[in-house]
Amino acid sequence: MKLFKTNMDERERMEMYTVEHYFFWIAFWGLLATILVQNFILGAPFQQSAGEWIVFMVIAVGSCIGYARKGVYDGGISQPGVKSYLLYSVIGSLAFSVLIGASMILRWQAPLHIAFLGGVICFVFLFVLLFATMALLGAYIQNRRKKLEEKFEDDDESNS
Amino acid sequence: MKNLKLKAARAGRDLSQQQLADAVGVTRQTIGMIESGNFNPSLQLCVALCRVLGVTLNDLFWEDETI
Repeated sequence: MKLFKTNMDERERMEMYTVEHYFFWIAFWGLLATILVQNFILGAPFQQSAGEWIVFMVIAVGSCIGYARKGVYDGGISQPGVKSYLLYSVIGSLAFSVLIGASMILRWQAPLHIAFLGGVICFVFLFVLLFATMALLGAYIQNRRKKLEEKFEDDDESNS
Repeated sequence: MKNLKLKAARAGRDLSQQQLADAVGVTRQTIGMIESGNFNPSLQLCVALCRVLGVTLNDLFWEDETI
């Protein structure tokens, strides 16, 4: 049962969703940017941005679960598979390890080779973590897609 | 692409955009946007429009291929 009865028609609803879609992604990337700037550039303590981290993680994890349950992988850019898991894992871990390396130099005045080593270690750990997460998520999405296909399968096709 | 067939069918029934909108449960703006080709209605809304105007989906929404 809906909490509020609205008089919104399908066009208005679609346009509202479109506006929400754009501002959701602005909020998502904006929030990530503010967290990264606070923690890695300004050197703020974690407690200062803990609330933002919680909100960000709720959005990120919640979206992932929601998409996965509907069998949506990455908005149609690629399909679940090793190639895609590799690509996303490399992009994610590379971006974060560069940030770690840069913050080691900027915040702690670490020598270049130490920062590089830190970046590489971070890259390896993150890559393994991301690849495993992507592989699990991809397998779950493929499983969900199969289940949803079976749920809405044409009776005539399933009998033949 | 403008939907002149919808506009003609509505005018043929002597209905204003507001009256047609009220009959199918949408806003006048939505009817205007369908007629001007700025909004693609769902099949559910297409059927509702057809029922109110007493025409078929083909009459309102089918476009013959131009060679």
